[in-house]
Parts: sequence; C-alpha cells; structure tokens
Amino acid sequence: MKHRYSIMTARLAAVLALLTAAPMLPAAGSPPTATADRKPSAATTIVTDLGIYFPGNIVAGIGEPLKVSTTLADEWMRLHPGKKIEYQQIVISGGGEGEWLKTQLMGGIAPEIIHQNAEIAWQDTDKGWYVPLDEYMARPNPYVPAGSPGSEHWIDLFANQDLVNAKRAPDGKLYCVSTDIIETGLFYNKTILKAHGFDRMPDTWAGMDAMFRKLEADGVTPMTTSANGLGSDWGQDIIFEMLYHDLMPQLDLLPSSPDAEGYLGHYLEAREAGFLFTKGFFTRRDPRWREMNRILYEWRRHWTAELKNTDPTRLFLTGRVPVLWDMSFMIRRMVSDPYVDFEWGVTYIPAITRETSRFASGTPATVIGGAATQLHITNSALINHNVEDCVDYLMFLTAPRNIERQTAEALVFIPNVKGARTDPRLEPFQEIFRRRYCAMKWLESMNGEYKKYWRRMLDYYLNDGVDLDGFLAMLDQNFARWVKSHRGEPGWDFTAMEKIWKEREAALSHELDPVR
Amino acid sequence: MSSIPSADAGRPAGPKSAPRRRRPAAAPPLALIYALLLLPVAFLAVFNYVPAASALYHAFTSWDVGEASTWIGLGNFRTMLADDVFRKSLRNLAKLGSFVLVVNMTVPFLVAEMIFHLRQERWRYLSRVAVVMPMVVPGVVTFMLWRYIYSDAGVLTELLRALDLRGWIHGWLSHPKTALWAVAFVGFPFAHGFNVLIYYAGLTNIPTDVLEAAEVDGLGKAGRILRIHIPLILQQVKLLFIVTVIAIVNGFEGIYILTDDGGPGYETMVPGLYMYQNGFTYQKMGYACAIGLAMLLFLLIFTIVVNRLMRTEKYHPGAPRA
Repeated sequence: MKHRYSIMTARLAAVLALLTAAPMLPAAGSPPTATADRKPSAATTIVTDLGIYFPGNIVAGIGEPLKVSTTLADEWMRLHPGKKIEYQQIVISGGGEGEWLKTQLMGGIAPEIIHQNAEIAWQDTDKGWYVPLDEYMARPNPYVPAGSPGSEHWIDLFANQDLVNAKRAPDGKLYCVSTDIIETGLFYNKTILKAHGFDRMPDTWAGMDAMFRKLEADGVTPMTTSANGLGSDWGQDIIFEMLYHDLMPQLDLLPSSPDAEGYLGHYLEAREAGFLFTKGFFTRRDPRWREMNRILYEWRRHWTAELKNTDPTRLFLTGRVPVLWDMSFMIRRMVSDPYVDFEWGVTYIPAITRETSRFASGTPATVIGGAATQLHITNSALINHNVEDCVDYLMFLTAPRNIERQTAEALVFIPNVKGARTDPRLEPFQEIFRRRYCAMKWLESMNGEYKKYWRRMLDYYLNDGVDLDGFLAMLDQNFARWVKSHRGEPGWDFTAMEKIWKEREAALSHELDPVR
Repeated sequence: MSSIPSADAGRPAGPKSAPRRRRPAAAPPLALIYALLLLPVAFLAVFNYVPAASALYHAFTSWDVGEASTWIGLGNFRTMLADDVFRKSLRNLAKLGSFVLVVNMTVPFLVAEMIFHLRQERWRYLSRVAVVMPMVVPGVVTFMLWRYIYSDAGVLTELLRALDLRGWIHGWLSHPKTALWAVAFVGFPFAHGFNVLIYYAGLTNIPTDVLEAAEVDGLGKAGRILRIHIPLILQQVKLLFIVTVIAIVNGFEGIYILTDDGGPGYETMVPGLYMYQNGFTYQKMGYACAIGLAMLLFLLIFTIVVNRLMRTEKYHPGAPRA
C-alpha cells in the first residue's frame, strides 16, 4: 500500500511540476517579446474577430446565422496550406469601455485581428497595442486582378479614400482597414402617418416638429431612437453643422489633411475646437451653441420617455412609435421580418430652417455614420510573428468579390471597396451617404473622461436633470479641463491658429455675446 | 442526571495530555496530501492574494493601464476627499443602502414569521420552497427583467397605458428624480429567499418550552415576536446585517445593468461603480485601487463595530445570565 502511494506521489509531483512550470516555458516558435518580426511564419493560426461578420452572428437579431466568413476563411486556408483561421468574438461591454479587450491587449493575448472603432483605438496606439498599416497599404493586393484598383497599392482599392484617411490616428498613421460604410436614417411607418393625415415625412425641421405635435395630440409618441449616443450626441453634431454652416469657412482655421479633404474639408479638428473655445466659441457666450442644445432638448421632448433603457426596434415594429432614427442595420430587420405588416420608408433628418432658428442655414442635414467595420491588427500578431499573414488575410477579405459576398449576406453595410456592388435594398443609405459629412463629432474628438462626462451630462440635461444654463456651465467646465489636459502637446500649439484668428477676429467676435 | 465517563477520564488535564491522533495505516502519505493542496493554494495566491496585495500597493500610486505606476503616497486619497462625484456616490449609497437595508432586514423577517406561524408542516414546506425558488434565477437575469419592466415597451408602461394613465408613463431609469428609487425597487416584494431561510432557521431553533412558557404567561403574538423571537434570533439578525451591508457597499452590478453608467448624471452612481469606471473606463487604476481600499477599510471597521455593539449569546435554558 505504501509503495502504491509512493508511486502515486511521484507521479502527482511530476504532473504538478509540469503544470507549474508550463506557463514559464516559452511557447515553441513564439518568443515572448513584442518586437516585430516581418518574416511570415511557416505555420500559424490567426485568431480573428470580424465585427458584424463574425461567423454564426445573427445580424439585427433576424435571419440565418452568417456563413460567408467561414467560407472565406476556408478559401484562404486552402490557398495557404498549414495556416489556420480561428474566430474569437471580442467582448465590448455595456458602455463600450472595452474592459475585456483592454486587458487582453495589455497581456498581448487579444485576437490578432479585431474590429474596433478607430477613435477608441487611437487612445492606445502609443502603447503599441495596434500595428500601423501604412507600409502594407502601399503594397499590392495579390487578390485583386492586375490593372484593377488595389493591384499596385492596396489603399487604392477602397472606394471612399477620404473615409479611409479620416481614420488616421492623431500620429498620422493608419491603424485600421475600413471595409464598409454605415449610415443612419429615419425609418417611418407610412401606415400610421397616413392615418394621422401625413402623406410623407416633412422636409424641414419645423415641419417635423408640427407633425410630432399633431401625433402627440392624437395620443401617439412620435419618435424613438436606438441606444446611447445616436439620439443625443449625434443629434448634437448634426444640429451643430446646420447652425454653424455659414460660419464654418471662418471657423475652420486649419486646412484638413489633403488625404481626406473631400470628406473632412470643413471638419473641425479637436485642437481647432479647443482653440476656438478659448476665444469664446462653444461656450455660454456663443448663441449658436445655446441654440443647438435648445433645439436638441425640444426634439427630445417628442421621443419615448425611457431613451436609454428601451427597445426601439420593438416599439417601431409593433407600431407603437411611427418614426425611428436608426442605423442601416434596420434594413435587414425590415426586409426579413415576416410580421412587418405596414408600409415603411427611409428618409433623413430634415433641414433646420429660419422657422426654427435665426442661425439656420437651411442646408441639408449632414451625415454622421461613416466607416463601419474597422479591422485592426493587434500586438498579438507582433508577439506571434504573424503580422504578414494577418495582412494577407485582410487583403483577401477586401478583394471586391469577397467583401461583396460579406456585405450582401449581412445586409447592413455598404461595401467600401471599388468593384464591389451594393445590395439594392441598401440603396436609400447609399443616397443618404452622398450628403456632406458632419463638421464635428464632438464626443469622438474628446478622450476618456471628458467624453464620458459630456455624454453623461447631455443625458442628464435631456432628461430634465439640469436646465440649459446649468448644462452649458457644465460643458464649459469640461471643455476647459479638456483643453488644459492637452496643454504642452506638440499638436496643441495655438500659435498658427492665433495668427489666423487675428485676421478674422473682428468678424468672428461679432458672432459672440459680450463677456458678462 | 447520570454522567457518562469520557474516554479521557482519568488522564491528567492540560493541553499536553491531549492524545496524539494516530494516522490510520491506510491513509495516504502526508506528502501526497500537501501536494494535492499545492495547486489550490497556488491558485488562491495567484488569483486572490496577489491581486489584493497589488491593489493595496497601487492605491498609493498613479497608474494608467498598460503603463508603469508612480508612487504618489496619499495623493489618491486627497483626490478622493475633494472629488464631487465620489461624494455624490456616497450620498447615493447612503440613500440606496438605507432603503435596501431596511426592506431586506424587515420584509424577510415578516415572511419568516408568517411561515413559522403556519399550522401545517406541509404548508410551511411549500412556503419555504416558494420563497427559495426565485433564488435559482441568476441575479443578472433578475436585473435584466427589471430593466425590461421599466422600459417603454415594458410591463409597467403597458399597464399604465392599459389603465389609460398615460400621464404617469415615465422614463423610470432615465429621469433624475426616479432613477435611484427605480434601482432600489428592484427585487420587490423583497422576500429574499436567503434572508427568509436564515430568519426561519433562527425561529425554529427557539426551544419550544420557551415558546410554550410565553403562551402560558399570556403573551400575544405581537408580544412573542417582540419579546421572545427577536431577542433570540439576534445572531441571525447580526449575520444578515453584516452580509447585507457588505453586499450594498460592494455591489454595483445591478446599477451597471440597469443604468449602464450610474446615470442619469450621477444620480445612481455608487462607490463600487465609480471604482470600476475609474479603473476600466478612465484607466486610472491607482485611483480605482484607492477607492477599493477605502471601501475595504469601511467594511472592516463596520464589521468590527457591529460585532462589538451587537454582542449575542446562545440561549441556554437554565444557564445563569452573564
């Protein structure tokens, strides 16, 4: 008996020793350093998350699980014997903080390819968590026929170059591949609107307001919108452009990057906004700023009561609310849901005219969506020495026939690749996307806590937690802290802007209320 | 009463005289036992003690996720004292905690009393099962259900609509005036199975001769509850008091699920959620650790004070009172 236990003890000790030592042993062929190795490995596995195209994903909660990504992975693996694609969905929790992802990136064990909003990734590019793609974008894409766009330089393959370049990080580098485009739209229930005397959606903000008032008088809650952000801060951004439109040529102090001029030609950079704040714009002294927040508040009065904690899709589909501001995702739901028994249409947010505000330009509302899937290569690829394979796989995925298959199956995004056709059912969004891009995405221009604070206070204001003056005071304080946090940064030297300001000061200062 | 001589009878008293227990011959060797313990102890150390020790150290540092930490002494604690949001979170915790504490301590007691007073054991058993059943539903599911109840398409709104009380339809979790109370009301009618069971176990442990004596002495039901039941289940009360306060101070998952970020504004922010947000949203891990340490210290002091103030003794019939 004693002998038996001795053998058991010895075996157990050996197993325990192995278990204890295993994590300390370097994995074969993968030294635990983060130095880039540009040589492709002979055999490797790429772990990837493809955002919405994740295999098995039931997009918009309806239809068959997605299969095309698996097919594409199989095709790529056949072209590269010995290499393997595995899928791992990344977790982006409630508020989009990405706690899980951050810890994975910090430990160097995130999937090699992930979808992440570029603006969020920018906060961590200095930590070496993402691989810059500029060098690879300059290479030929071998999956594109010779002579076609992208066959010499991968970057030429993308349909909207400005959109791709708009995703350049503040350090000027491109860390993501923007494969497709998303846009928002107003979905409306024609049946309900007709029943209340409206044949179509109004063209102006005042018309929309009148329609909403009539619906409310008839006991109908007019509008709802999806989740955080869309209804509030994107609403703010869209109204902003319509009120500042005539002033933008003066306010836009710095020329945009030539790469993205067509898309962001009039866009305010964060530092421009910061500088203008120090001069009184976007503060309580700025009457347009006040007006923007007033209009947003008035609009909010027509939305469903529980904005954050609701299911707008259900409300719209069950005919409880006739107007829904949502993303192009909803197209899939609308065309696939057998229970949709009403006539519906898609339009865009109407223009603000002088009827609504003395600052209104009357120009059409700008779009705000832009790049949808933004694929990044993470530090795991550097650690695992398979950056080249990851790039090759991304080149394969962005080949026109491949992205076309993906977007057609998912039916939520417009492909951003030359030669890839858009599903005709997404046509309304292609129309919407032809509009001018917004002049500022306020919250995306801010980092971390300032952005969070702004969104939080906006939510507070829109839900009657604080009045307009109180809210503007909070924004002023937050803005000042944000500008101060950038003090001393090379990009935030205001000297050049100060010079231009001097030339325009007389005209611009006139637009502000006097200092009290 | 005759006494049964113990096995130690006749042996000299004192610790040294305690018999050395013999290990059975068939017992596995000690080395094997220790080897088996090695792995769980290693896991415990790596996943429990090391992070706790690390948090203790990092509470005194400025530490951005992914970067090296810098020692700043009491800097984080000074920031905490001047931090309006932290103070607001404490006020919210006090409001929420008071409500939750009162209902979680009283309602389960009343339910336990009602079950205890049922005449037939069959009904007592069925009532206990009915109270325990909801415990199998994961907490996250409960919060998700309440989130749905409060939503625009939810039961509450539909009920108000059906009763033609449209004016009462409300953004329960969105409106600053109702959000905290909407959070507090989750779990209604608050007959938590665990608390009920603990109280019930205490009540069943009261010796029947005491209860009979009270009845003979003419104490009514209310008198028995106040003068017999409560004093004799004080140990259970103390246990539930401490456990409930710990859960209130540490818990934030419900608020996280219901309001995402402690909003609107900071109306539902509590220290636990603020700690989490500082750590993972703002990446201020050092400050988050400091908040965590403050919470730990509060709970330690609270537990010691409660233990001192609520001294309880076991009831021994006939034993002289201390």
